[in-house]
Amino acid sequence: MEDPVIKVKDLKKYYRIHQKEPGLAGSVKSLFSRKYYNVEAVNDISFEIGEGELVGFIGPNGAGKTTTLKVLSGLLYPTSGYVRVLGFEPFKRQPKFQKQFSLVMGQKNQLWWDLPAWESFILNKEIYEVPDNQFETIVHELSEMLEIKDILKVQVRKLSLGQRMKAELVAALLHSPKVLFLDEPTIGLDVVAQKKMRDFVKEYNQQYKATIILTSHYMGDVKELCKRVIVIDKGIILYDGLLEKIVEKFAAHKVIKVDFEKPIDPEKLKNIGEIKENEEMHYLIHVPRKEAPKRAAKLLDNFPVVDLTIEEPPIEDVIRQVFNGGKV
Amino acid sequence: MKYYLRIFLALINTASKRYLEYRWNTFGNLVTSTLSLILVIFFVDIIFSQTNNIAGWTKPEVLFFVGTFRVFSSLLSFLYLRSINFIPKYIQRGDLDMFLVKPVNVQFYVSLCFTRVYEIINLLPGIVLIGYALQSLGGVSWEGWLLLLGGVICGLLIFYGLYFMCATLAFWFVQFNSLTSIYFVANSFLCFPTDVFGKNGSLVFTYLIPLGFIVTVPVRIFLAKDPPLFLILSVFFAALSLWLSVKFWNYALKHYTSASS
Amino acid sequence: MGKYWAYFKLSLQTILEYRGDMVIYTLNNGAMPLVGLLIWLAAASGGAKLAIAAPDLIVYFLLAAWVNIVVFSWGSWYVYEIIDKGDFYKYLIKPFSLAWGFAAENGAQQVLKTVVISAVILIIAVVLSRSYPLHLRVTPLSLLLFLPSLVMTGLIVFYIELCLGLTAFWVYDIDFLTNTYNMLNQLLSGRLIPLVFLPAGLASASTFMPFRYTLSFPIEVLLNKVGGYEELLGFMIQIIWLGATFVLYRLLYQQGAKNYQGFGG
Repeated sequence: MEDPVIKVKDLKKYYRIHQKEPGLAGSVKSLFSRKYYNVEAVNDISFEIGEGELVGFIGPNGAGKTTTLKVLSGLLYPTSGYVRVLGFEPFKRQPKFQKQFSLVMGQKNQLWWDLPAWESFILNKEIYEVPDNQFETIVHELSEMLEIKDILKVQVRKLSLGQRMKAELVAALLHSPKVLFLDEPTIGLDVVAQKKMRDFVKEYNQQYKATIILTSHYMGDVKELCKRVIVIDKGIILYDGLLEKIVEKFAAHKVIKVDFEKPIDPEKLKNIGEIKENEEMHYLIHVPRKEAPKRAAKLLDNFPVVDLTIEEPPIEDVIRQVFNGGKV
Repeated sequence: MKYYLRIFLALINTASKRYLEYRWNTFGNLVTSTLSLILVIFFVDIIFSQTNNIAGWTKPEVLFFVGTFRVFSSLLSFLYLRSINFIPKYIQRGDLDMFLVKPVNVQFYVSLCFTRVYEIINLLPGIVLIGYALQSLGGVSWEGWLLLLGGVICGLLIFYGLYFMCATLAFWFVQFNSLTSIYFVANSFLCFPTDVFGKNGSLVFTYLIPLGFIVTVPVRIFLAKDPPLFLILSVFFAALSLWLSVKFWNYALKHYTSASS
Repeated sequence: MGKYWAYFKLSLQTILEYRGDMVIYTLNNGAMPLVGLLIWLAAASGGAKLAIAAPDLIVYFLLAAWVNIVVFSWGSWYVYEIIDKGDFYKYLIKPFSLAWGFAAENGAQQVLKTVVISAVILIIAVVLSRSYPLHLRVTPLSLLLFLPSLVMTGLIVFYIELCLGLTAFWVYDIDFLTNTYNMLNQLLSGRLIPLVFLPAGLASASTFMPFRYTLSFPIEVLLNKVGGYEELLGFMIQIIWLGATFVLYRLLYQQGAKNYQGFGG
């Protein structure tokens, strides 16, 4: 990739935590001696992201997604490795760098809860040195896009979670950052709010050409927004590429959905494939990928089939299997 | 620089909007602080009904000290007390991250984001007491006032540095709830001239832990108990305190970003 | 009862974790009597003849610090937090009494503090006795009477704190009340000013106000500063104040719970 916006090579992030034994005896013991052990949050990961890309980081809790984002934001000092964002070393926290990126964490707010969102915007304007007219234009545009113009002067603590997240986005974007890190942005939102958030992120990426990294454990977020995904688990990258190709790479099976004319003895379907679900005359059968056309033909030849489709397994299942180790 | 002045003004502006909501609180606060000042004056009265000087200070001198201390306290509470009290909570909840990604100096921002604008009103009782005590103390030149003001400003900086360093300890003690108690302890020792601690005590508390330079020495200079040259020591301690707080904070941040997840 | 004992042990554990905080809280409790001591010593050395001589001032204030730490309670903050955060309903639906639960927590802290602070104050007294002739003028009888008085003192402080906290049912911010109470307490309880130093009118008024019975009275009993009729009167007034604060606590609690349930939602 020529001149990637984000470049990470062999990043490692380890840290130590101590564990106390439970009970009163354990408390007294920990006064005198403490046992520490190492956690390898991120273990040798490398990737490059170019300008305008919208990349999804997916992984279970504790995978290392948030840790990676924090390293990219300069919040954490890497144990070792090469990290550059927009040409800067993030952990140096240079103002010139900080004015060009933004971090939004789904569970943490930057808005002052006891003031209207507008006040927090003004403070950010001063902090990021956004010129007056640029500030007005951007806030106007963003609040129109997010439909929150009328709640800007309401105290943040009186807003619903959805409204608060929208206001957080405006606060995070009013300095027109080139890079945006979104950490679990849809967490806790209802279905409608989630959709609105996803639409906004897509629109923002297309309109402003910002480079966006999104972490989430909601597949919905990733499916809708990201062409490219990076799958992380236990601090290592399991996959880095197009989302649609994940299924090809990791799923060893395909799904045949079949509806029969009349009830069938399941025993007879045993050599077609593994029956995953059946309801009356509707069956879901897992077959080895390469065999799918052959097995489907066999079904059509030997059974009274009304309808038959061959499908990819749902991405969620594939990913889950990937996290459980290895192929499906 | 101008950047930081703008941010400070914006913070004050925001803070005033915050307190306009709680008008009853502001009034209640003024009542409480006036009441407490009256009780302190009462206490001074009781002491001086039993004796006519305490560690070399006469009654009007002690009253002048109390008034100056009150002004100092109000300024402290106005500028940075509430903000610093929040620091252990930010660290505990991980909210510090939201400050660290911004291009503004974190120590500066975190120390001034919760200015208590209404404390300005609480300056009044202190000033009134100073005026009252002044009647028995004779004339003072404008240079005397300047020295006093300079001394109090240095005192505010010395206290800031020390208190901020205490708050910084929260990086190592994840559950650190007693910061405000530290303030109360310090307050107890500052509300009377450090001469009260006896000869050895006041040496320790003036030069080793520069509490004495916070309010006592500036007042002593004003009352001509100490030469004006001592103000240079005030400035020295202020600079030292500030410098140490910056160094310690940066060290703590480095530790925080290396050791956490 | 077993659940409160378990809670007591859990509190001990918590205190060990928060040991840094505990040290600072204890220092805070001891700060006022310490400052009082320094001020009165300075006043004494200014050549004036005080009703209490320097060595006796030291004894008094060391005892004041000890008692202040031992009877300390933060019930006002504790209850305020529960009500403010909306957690009060838990005490209506669970068989766990708010007062007993807090007593277990408070008690645990005080037990630990008493053990530590007794050693510390003893050491300070030994060190100071080299420069001053310190005498602890107690008799077996005064020691015997001191203990029940101390217990009552602790209970009075406990219930006053709970009452202050319970006002949170009606008032948005209890700071005004707690600050006013603390200020009056500082002036009239003997923490800062031994009651003999108060001007005549205030001194006799303090006999009837509750503040004396949150610190000064048990010390006066121990040091034989009151005798005969005065001591009897003092004990009666302390018992009356204990009853009054307990009754007020029950009233506020029941009324507050009733209002609380009235709101719902």
